[in-house]
Amino acid sequence: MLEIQQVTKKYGRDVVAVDDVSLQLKSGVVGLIGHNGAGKTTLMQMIATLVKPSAGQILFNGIDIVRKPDAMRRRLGYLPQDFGVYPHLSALEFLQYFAALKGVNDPARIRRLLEMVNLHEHAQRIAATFSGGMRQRLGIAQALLNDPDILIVDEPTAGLDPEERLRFRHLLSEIGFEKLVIVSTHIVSDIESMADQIAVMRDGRLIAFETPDAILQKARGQVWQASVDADQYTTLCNRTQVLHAQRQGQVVTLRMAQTQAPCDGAHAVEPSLEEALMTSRYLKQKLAA
Amino acid sequence: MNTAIIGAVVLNEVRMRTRRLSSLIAVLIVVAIAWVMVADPAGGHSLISINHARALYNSTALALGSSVLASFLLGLGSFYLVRGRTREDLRHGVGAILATTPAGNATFLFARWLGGVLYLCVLVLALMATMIVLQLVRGEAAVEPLVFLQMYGLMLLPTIFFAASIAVLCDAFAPLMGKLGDVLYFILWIGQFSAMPSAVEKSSVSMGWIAGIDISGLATMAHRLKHVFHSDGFNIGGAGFDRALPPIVLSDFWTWEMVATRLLCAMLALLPLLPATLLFHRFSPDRVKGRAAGSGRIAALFAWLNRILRPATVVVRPLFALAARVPGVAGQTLADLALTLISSPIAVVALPLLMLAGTFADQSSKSGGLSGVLVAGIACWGILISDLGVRDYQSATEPLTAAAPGGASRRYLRHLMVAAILGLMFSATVLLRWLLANPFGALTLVTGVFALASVASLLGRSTRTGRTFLALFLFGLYLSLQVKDVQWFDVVGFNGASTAASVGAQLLVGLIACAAGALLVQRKANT
Repeated sequence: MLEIQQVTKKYGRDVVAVDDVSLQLKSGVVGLIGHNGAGKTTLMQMIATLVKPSAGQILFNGIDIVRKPDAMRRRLGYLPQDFGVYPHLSALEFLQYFAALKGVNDPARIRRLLEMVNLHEHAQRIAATFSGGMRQRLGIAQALLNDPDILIVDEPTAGLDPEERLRFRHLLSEIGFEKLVIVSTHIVSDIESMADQIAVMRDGRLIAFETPDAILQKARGQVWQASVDADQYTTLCNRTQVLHAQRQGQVVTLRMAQTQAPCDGAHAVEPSLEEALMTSRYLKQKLAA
Repeated sequence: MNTAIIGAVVLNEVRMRTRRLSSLIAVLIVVAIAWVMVADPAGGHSLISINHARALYNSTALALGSSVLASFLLGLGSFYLVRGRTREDLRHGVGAILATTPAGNATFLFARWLGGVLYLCVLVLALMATMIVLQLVRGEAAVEPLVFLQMYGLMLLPTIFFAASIAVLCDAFAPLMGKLGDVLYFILWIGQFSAMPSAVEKSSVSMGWIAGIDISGLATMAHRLKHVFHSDGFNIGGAGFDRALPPIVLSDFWTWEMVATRLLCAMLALLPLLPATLLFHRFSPDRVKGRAAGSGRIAALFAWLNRILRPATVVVRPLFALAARVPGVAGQTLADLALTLISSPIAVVALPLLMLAGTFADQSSKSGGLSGVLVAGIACWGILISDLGVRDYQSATEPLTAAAPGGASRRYLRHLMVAAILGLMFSATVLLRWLLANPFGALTLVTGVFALASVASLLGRSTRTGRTFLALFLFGLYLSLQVKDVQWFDVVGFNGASTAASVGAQLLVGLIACAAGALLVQRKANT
C-alpha cells in the first residue's frame, strides 16, 4: 500500500530531519515512536504530502506521491498534532467545509461520523468553544470524512482524559482492520494496545521496525526488579539504567535494564513495551560507549 | 516600576522585531521612499518649493521635508507595524506564562510600548542615515547631523509615541484586538488632519491650543512655513519650481514655543497607556482566548454584531452542500466562499443592502449615488478580505487544508479567487449598471478588484497578518477619496479618473502579485 524508499529530508545543509528511511506498510496500525526531534513528525508530514523529501520516493499503491500528491490526498486522512478550528463555525459546518474540500458529497456520512465520535449532540455548537478532547474528536471525524485508505495521526491522545483515550485507541484499532493507520506518539501505552508494528526512530533514522511481541521478546531477561534500601538505590542509580522506582517507607522497589542481575536479590521480570524500548535504547548506548 | 523587567521585555521586543524579515523589508521601504522623495533639482523637481522657488538642499531643508512626509506615512504605518504582539503571545501559547509572572500591568505595558518605540526609532534612524547619504550625493551644503536629529526628534517622536501607545491600548483591551482596533486607528489618523486647515489659516504667530494636540506636527509645520514666508504657496514632496528664482535657504526653523508644544504633544501621546493599564486583559481566558484572540471575542463589537446577525448566515449555509456536489477547484472555492461568509454575518447582511442601494442609486451623481455605493461596498470588502489569506494560519487549520486535494498551492489560488469573487459580489449592481452605461468603468472595477485581491493574498501569505494589507488598503482608499483626479489612485473607478494606462498597470500589478504569491507557496512546499 505505502512504500517509503530511502527517504531523506534535509533543512539547509546541516540539519537532517529524516535520514535514509525505508519502510513498506500494509493495512494495520503502525506505531511511530521516538524521542523529541527524532524525525517522526517530518516523516509523517512527508507521507501526508505537506513536505517534500530531499531525496527518495514515497509510493502509494505504486504512485509517486511527490510527483502526484493529489493521488495521496484523495485517499488520506490527516490529524496533525496541533490544529485549530475556525472561530465562527459550528462542528457541523466545520465538517461540511472539509467535506466540500475533499469532494465528499454525503451528508449522512457527516452525521454518522459525528455520532461515531460522540459529538452529534454538539453538532450545532461553535467548535471553538469545545474542550481539548471534543476538539480532538472533531479532528478525527474530519480525518475520516473521505473514508481514507491511509490515516495519519500525530500524538492523537495528547490532552484526552483516560476514558476518551481508551475510546480513541479502540477507534483507531477498528480502522486498522482494513486501513493503514500511522500513529505517532510518545505514549507507548497507546500503541502497545493497538499497534501491529512499531517503527522506532532516532536522530532521523529508522532503527527498528518490528512487532510489539518481537520487541518484548528481545528485552526478556534484561529487565530486573529488586527491593533495596536508600543507599543501595543511590549506588544502583549510578551503575544501571533505572526504569522505574517506587519508595515505600525505607524500601525502594526498582525495575532496571541490565544484561545481568544488577544486585543481590534482583530477579528478571516480564518487561512492558515501554521498558523494552528503553532497555533496547540503553543497552545499545552502553554497547556503543 | 521594575527596571530589570522593563529591560528584559524591551530587549525581547527589539530582538523579536529586528529578527523578522518584515523588519528588513520595512527598512528597505523606508530607504526607497527616502530616495524617491528627494528629487534631483536638475530634473525640475525639488523636495520643497516655496512661492515657486526651490529650497536649497541643506540639512534643514532635507530634514524638514523628509520628516513632514515621514510623519504622514509613519503616523499610519507605525501603528500597524508595532501592534499585534499580544495576539502573537496568545497564538504561541506564552500569554498565560506572561500573565503569571510578577511583572505588573503598568510595567509590562510600558515595556511593550518602549520596545515598540525603539523599533520605530530604528526605522527613523534608517531614514536619517539615508537622508544624510542623499545630502552627500545631491546636497548643496555641509551635512549637519544635529539638525537632522533635532528635526526628526521633534517632528517624529510624538507621532511614534502616539502610534505605539494606541497599539498598546488596542493590544491590551480585548475588544480592540482585532479589525475594530485597526479601523479605529485609521479613523483617528484621518481625524487628526481635521485640525490642519484652521491652524494654517491662523494669522497670529502662535497656533494656540491646536499645536498641543497636533501629534503629527503637520499643522505646526504648515503654520510655521506660512508665518516665515508670509505665504500659503509652499509644497513639500517632489514639487515643480521656477528655475529663474534663486533657491531659498532654510535655517533656524524651531522656536522655543514650538519645541515646548512638541514636547507637550509627546507627553499627551502617552495618555492612551493609562486606559491600556486599566483595561489590560492580562491574557485572562475570560476575556481573550488562545487562537481566537482578536478575531471576535464576545466582548468585541464585531463579535457581538456577528453573534446577533448569525441567523442571517442561514441563507449561505446550503453553499457547503452545493460545494460538495461541485467537483474540483470550483467546489473547493465555493466551500471557501461559504466559510468566509458564514464567518462574517455582517457581510451577509451588508451584501443585499449594498445591492439594493446600488440598484436605486443615481448614476449621474458624482459625490454620492452609485459611486458612493461603490465606495461603501469596496470599503466593506477590503476589510472583509484583509485576513482571508491568513485565516488558516491564524486558526491553525493550515495542515488540515494543505492535506486536502490541491494542497497549499491550490489553497492560495482559492483564497485569491474567493477574494475576487467577493469583490465582484460587493460591487455587483454597480458593475452591472456600468456594463451597460460605462463599460470602461466596469473594466476598471474588475481589474481593480483583481489587483487588490491579488495584493491582499500576497501580503497575507508573505507577512502572515492581515494588517499590512488593511493599512495599505485604508490608506489607498483615503487617498483616492481625497485626490479624485489622479488616474493611479482611482483603482476601482469610483472617481472616473482611470485611463487605459492605469487599468493596464493595475492588471499588471495583479498578475505580478498573483505570480509572486504562487511562487512563494511553491517555494515553501519545496523546502
